Amino acid sequence: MKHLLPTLKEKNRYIVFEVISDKTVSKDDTFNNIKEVCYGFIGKLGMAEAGLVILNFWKKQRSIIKINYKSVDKIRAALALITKVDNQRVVVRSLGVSGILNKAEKKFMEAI
Amino acid sequence: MFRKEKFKSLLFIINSMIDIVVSDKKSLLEFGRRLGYSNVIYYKELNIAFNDIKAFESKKIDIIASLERSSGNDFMHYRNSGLNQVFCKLAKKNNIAVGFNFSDILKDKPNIGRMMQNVKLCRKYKVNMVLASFASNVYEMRNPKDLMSFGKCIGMTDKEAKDAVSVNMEEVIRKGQNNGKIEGIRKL
Repeated sequence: MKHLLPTLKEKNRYIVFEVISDKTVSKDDTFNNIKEVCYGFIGKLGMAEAGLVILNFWKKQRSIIKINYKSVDKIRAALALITKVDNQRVVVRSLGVSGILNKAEKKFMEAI
Repeated sequence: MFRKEKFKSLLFIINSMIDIVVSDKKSLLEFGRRLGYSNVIYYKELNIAFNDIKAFESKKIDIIASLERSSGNDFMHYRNSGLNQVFCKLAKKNNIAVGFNFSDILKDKPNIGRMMQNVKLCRKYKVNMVLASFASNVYEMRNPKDLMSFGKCIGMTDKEAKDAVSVNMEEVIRKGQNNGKIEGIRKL
């Protein structure tokens, strides 16, 4: 099967975020919580438009979300609404947005 | 390289992000710096009224925040958002900014719809909008860019959202200093 033409593909953005907490929180709990909160904030239709994928990165409580470029603000606002992960009070802050995964990783994940 | 650094420093001066908090703990200032704010101000340093309609008539007030908290259900044809055309005109006349409280959103019953109506009214009557965390502890503080994203979600344009976190906040502080209402902004 032939690949989809580049102009027909969805345009993506990669958001790098950090979870700030007193004790370390687990990766799975964080990812589940993010999905729940995003569903609550933008709903099923919004999630379908956003095409949210949480990439399998977890380094010093930082990770990357892949989303459609039109939903960046919605997902960022949804991340700001997270208050608890695994019964611990947390602050989730977005470190930056990039259009290239490699750059997102180098610029925000590694530069600490 | 030198030019690039200079340009970056200039950008930092122009876009100084300021947050308003409800507690005077020093940890909030430190955490604010970590999040990217240039300054964190204790709310008693400014003249801020919370959900007080009578404050629109006063020239001493700088910001009126949390108008969405007004009790009662929404009306049939419009929302009970605590703001209307009359208050907007008064706010414009007395140079009062309308504040959107992010810590209200983190609580049980957020009134995002009412905020959307207030944004529309503020835009129509050219009232300054301010977006701050009004945090009582570290866990209620958020990134300035996250707050801007939230602003865009409730209907602000890119420029309005940016100004709500930086320019309008500076204007409020300048107003307070010029009128001599406050002795000077004390950093936490």
